[in-house]
Amino acid sequence: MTTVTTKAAATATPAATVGTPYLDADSGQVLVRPGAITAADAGSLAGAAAGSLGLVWLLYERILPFSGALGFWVCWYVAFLAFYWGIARTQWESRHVREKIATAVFTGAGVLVVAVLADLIGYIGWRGAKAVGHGNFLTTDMQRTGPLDRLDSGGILHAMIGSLEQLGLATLFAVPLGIAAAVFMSEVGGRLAQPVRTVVNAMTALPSIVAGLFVLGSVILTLGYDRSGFAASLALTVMMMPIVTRASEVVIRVVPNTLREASYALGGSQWRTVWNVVLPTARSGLTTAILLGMARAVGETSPVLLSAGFTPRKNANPFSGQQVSLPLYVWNYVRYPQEDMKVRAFGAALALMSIVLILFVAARVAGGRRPGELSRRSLRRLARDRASGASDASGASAPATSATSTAPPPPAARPAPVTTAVIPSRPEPAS
Amino acid sequence: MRHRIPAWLAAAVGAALAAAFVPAAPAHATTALTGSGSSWSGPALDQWRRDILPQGININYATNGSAAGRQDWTNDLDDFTASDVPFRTTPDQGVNDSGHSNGLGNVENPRYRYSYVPVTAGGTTFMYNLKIGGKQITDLRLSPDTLVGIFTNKITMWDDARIKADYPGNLPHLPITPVVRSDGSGATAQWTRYMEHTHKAEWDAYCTSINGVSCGDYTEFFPTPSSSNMHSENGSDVVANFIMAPTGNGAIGYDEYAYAKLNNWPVVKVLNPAGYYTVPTASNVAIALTAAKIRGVDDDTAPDDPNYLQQNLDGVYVNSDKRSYPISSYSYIIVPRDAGSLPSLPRGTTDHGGALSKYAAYILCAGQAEADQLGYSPIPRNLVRGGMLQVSHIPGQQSGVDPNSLANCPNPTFNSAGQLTVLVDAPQPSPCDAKGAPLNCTPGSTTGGSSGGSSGGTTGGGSGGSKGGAAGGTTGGKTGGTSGSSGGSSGGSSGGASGGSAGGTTGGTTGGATGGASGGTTGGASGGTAGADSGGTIDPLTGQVDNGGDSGGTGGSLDDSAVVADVPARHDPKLMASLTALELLAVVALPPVLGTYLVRRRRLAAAGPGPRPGPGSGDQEPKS
Repeated sequence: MTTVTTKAAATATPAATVGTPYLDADSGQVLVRPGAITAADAGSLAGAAAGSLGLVWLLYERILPFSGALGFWVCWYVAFLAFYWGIARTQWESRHVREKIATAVFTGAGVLVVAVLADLIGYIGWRGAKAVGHGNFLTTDMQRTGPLDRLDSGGILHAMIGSLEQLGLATLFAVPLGIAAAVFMSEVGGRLAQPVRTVVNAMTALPSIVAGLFVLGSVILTLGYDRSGFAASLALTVMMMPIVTRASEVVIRVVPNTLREASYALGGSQWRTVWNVVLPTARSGLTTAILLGMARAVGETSPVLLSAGFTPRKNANPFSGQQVSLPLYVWNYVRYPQEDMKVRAFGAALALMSIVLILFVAARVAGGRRPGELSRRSLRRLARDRASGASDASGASAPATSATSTAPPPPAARPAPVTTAVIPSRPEPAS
Repeated sequence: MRHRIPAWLAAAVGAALAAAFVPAAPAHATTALTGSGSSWSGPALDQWRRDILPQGININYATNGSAAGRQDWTNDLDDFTASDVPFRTTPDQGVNDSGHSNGLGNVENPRYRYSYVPVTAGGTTFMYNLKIGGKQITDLRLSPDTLVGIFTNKITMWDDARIKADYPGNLPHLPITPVVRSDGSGATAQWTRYMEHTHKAEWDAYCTSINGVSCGDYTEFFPTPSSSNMHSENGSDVVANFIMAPTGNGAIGYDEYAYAKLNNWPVVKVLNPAGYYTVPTASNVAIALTAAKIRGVDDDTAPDDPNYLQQNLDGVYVNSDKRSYPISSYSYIIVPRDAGSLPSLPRGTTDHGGALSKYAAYILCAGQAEADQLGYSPIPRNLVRGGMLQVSHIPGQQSGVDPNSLANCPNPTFNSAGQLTVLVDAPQPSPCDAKGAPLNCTPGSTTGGSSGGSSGGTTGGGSGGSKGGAAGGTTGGKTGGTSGSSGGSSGGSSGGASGGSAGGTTGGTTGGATGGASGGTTGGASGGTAGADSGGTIDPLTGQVDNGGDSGGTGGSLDDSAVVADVPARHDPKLMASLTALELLAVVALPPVLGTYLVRRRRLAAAGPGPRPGPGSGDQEPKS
């Protein structure tokens, strides 16, 4: 592509139109901002996409004895890259072409991931929408519904209650245990830390059915406790704990040692240091750790199947009687030959995804503050302290808090793209 | 605040633990029963659970699989267990040594005394996906010998002569993909038991070639060779989905009938001992099972025999009724028993027993009326009697049904007088389903081929003619035999006007036994030329067609001379297509390549006389 532009146009709009080459008055060179999209770029992309689509459609659907959507799109992508390469070669030099192709390949990979996810969610939504459309779906259980009943009866109320209760109990058990184990490994240490770490790492790879069997054998068969939501939450705890522990340990380790040393220097004990410095600093990461654990637990089917049993009835008491959770509901009903039952299962999967999304957003909002960022309550207390006795609140009252509560530097605004590529004002002879 | 968090946590955990280990008081106004096991029976048990809910019986049934259900029984976790196969008294020989050491197929110890009660019946159904020239075959018929050959890897191509002996169609040269269950399953057990009892030599040879021993009476785990076209899938629904997928062309697998019936998918018509190709409809399986025997009820097996109360299906396999589907079987529920050498089930209290006996009695009697709708077959009288005898042995039973008279048992297979109504009412097979009948078993059709043929022809032969005959057959079979010759003429006239498909529908709907004949001649003649494509798709469920075969098909005269399938033998299109594709690619790619080359040459030529330093300037030309 020729980069010669008229001097008048370039000087008139020196930096307004990113991507178009312009003449820099200081250096006297023609400059261009990289990464910007010009009309030629967009045209090449669209032309390559349309051309390859047409060619592949003709070949794949009409001439060659192939069929199937997946193969079609794979062929289209390959053809698109070839077309794009060809089009790019006619206008740009080879380095530029390579860059464009690489951009296309990696953008394609990203789009593929998003497309797979969108396909997954879209398929579940499409199959399950018919069930969710019925008002009874979220408000009734399956007690009065058999395989011959239409979608206007039966729902997932009991499964949603079961999922939330089992997940809540499992989080209640697993998070204190997991974070305590992480604190032990990173803060206390000692000779036992390494074996504990090894065991925790091994447990992350524990097949979920083994967790279920463990609870079945220990709680249900040995202690004679009947199948219930509580037993299921114990199995889920076994699944969650190693994940929470591992992820917490990683985020606790990256807390800078200088913070700990500062706390010790101010006379804080180890417990105080951990509770007031290390854990608050790692708060955002710990939230992620808990979310990872919950994400693992909420979708588990096999340990729940072994420990919670199955019931079509609403049972809000996790400690007595069988209790069904959403993954179990999905697993059970999707295998029915009746179409309405499958639709119910897909509707339940949709509800499960929504619940997970809501939980995650809520947890992020609640626990996702950056280190040093104070909650509203702490800010108020700080203001109160400052107002009451600014003179004697110098260092003794809350050394650790004040150590970390110094307002962090605001996140640097992203610097404007100042990098420019130098393009010689005269095009090189085509090589 | 800071110090309250751990205290609060500790309190919550403590409270939870304390509450957890206080045994829950079983104080329910209604009786709650817990069951688990068979995934095949699951939907039916679920429906019946809902039906008896008004009687104050709550049932929690988990479909975790037969083997897991039997384990639950052993662990006293169930009030009843549904299982497709009985407790294993000998090791499952279909499992190899490593499987046994992993705990698969080992001997089971029931621990508590029990009885087997039949609950759901069904035929082992062979779903398949086979296309000829892009058209789905819906009327495949095979003999048991051929099926055994397919599932023992003796027959590997669809155009094998042995398959063509059963189905003389224009079958493609395509490898067969037999689909089997990878998990332990009742469907595998029922199919392997049939093979062991009727094709012992072939099946034992196959098992021995893989495991070194024969597979015994039956195996829940289908042995698969390490390298073959055989495909293992986990679960009935997965097998069904694999076969029904567009990529499943060439696959055939055994499955439960419900998956084919509720998805309108074609199933193989299996040759029965009477010489008719039948499908596992509710009535065909029920008729087959009238010959089933329960050990200890219908013979003198002692109660302490390990096979006591198990099924003996040898009579079913050779049932000589024309309608019988030979590979029929049923599954059990395992219920507590009041006497026996083993200890009684600790959970089996009197009120549980009372509720369970009511549930079981409902299943055996009124519940069976829903079996067809759910995709099963009703259990015939002999099995109901055997089952009710066991129900009367449940501790605390309150079933209210006398096992011997079965007076107040509204089972659909017999009436209150004890007469087996299913034998009288069930439709007879069409003569077109007889062994040796041609695929286009339609009268008067000389030119029309029928790819939807045989099944449509069974009844639609009276009305439809060619491909359209299928549609006519479906409805015609249902209502046939009522109206008479007027219906036949209307079928014939509209058949002549709008082609076989439409004519078949009208004629079949109103046509009767004699009407079918006259309608068939007219409709068939014109349908033969105007036959639409709809035949093959309207007739997905060959079973329905079979229902009314007798009445609608009396007009059909077998015509051996007709063409079997009108699909032209396609030449291998790959070579031509590849050449075309190459040519197209060349047309697209060559001009730009040539153009670039020429432009570059011109530029180089222009730059050539210029002051290019270095001696290698000439070499740079081809390099770049």
